[in-house]
Amino acid sequence: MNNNQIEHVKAEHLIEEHADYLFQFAMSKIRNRELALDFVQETFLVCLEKIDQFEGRSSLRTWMTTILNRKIIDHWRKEKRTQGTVDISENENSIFSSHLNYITKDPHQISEEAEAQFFLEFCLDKLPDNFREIVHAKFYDEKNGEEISKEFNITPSNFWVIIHRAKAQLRACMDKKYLS
Amino acid sequence: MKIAHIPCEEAALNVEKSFWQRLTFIDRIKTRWHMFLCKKCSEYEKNSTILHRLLCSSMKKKEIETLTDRDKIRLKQSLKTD
Repeated sequence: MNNNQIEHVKAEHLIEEHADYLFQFAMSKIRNRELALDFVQETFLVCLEKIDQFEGRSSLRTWMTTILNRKIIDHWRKEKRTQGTVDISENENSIFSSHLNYITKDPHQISEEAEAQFFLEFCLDKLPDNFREIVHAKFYDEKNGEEISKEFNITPSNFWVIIHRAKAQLRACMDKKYLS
Repeated sequence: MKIAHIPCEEAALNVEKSFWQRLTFIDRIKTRWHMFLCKKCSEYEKNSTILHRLLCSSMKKKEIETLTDRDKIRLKQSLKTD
């Protein structure tokens, strides 16, 4: 086999192993099949290009998901730039009150949802790598503390401390971003 | 009541744990008592609950969408050409 063939086999293997997962992740964020597929495709391209830079600090899937997530955030950034900033009511001087509206399905539905998602993704991206990956493993992969502790080589009590600190950082970031 | 006193850090961790697992009876009492006495932690609990719900709804897999065989072929082709 020449180098090209080896690369091709590697790519096929990556697709078989991770494409469904990445696609579901993208769909959960953007809910547009074609766009999600495009992002997954771009993610594979980047991964194959940068596979040598993968240090193995987390699983390959987590690394790929981080790349995909950044692509989605970039997309939202561009969308926001073209749409202009979203008005924030004067009374809503806390992101939490507006999020509460969103969660309880109260008033401003879709734009509110997109806004909340955008800020959350933005702030998640600002977390330290290990914090972000652990939050992701807990909330998206729905793994339990024990599994995550093993995967990330931390103690179970350390796991809860990381969740607590990650959420504290998310809260601080979202307040700041939403108010600015 | 001194026996029921726990530091803020421990109370905050109990709040986080309580989203995912049932606390022991003693831990529940200690945490509730702490929340009753400490305004800051009580505020933390409120915000943390909202953030928890937001994270859950944001990361929730809405429906199981899978790639079709055609999608996979398209992906493989695109990587081949690039």
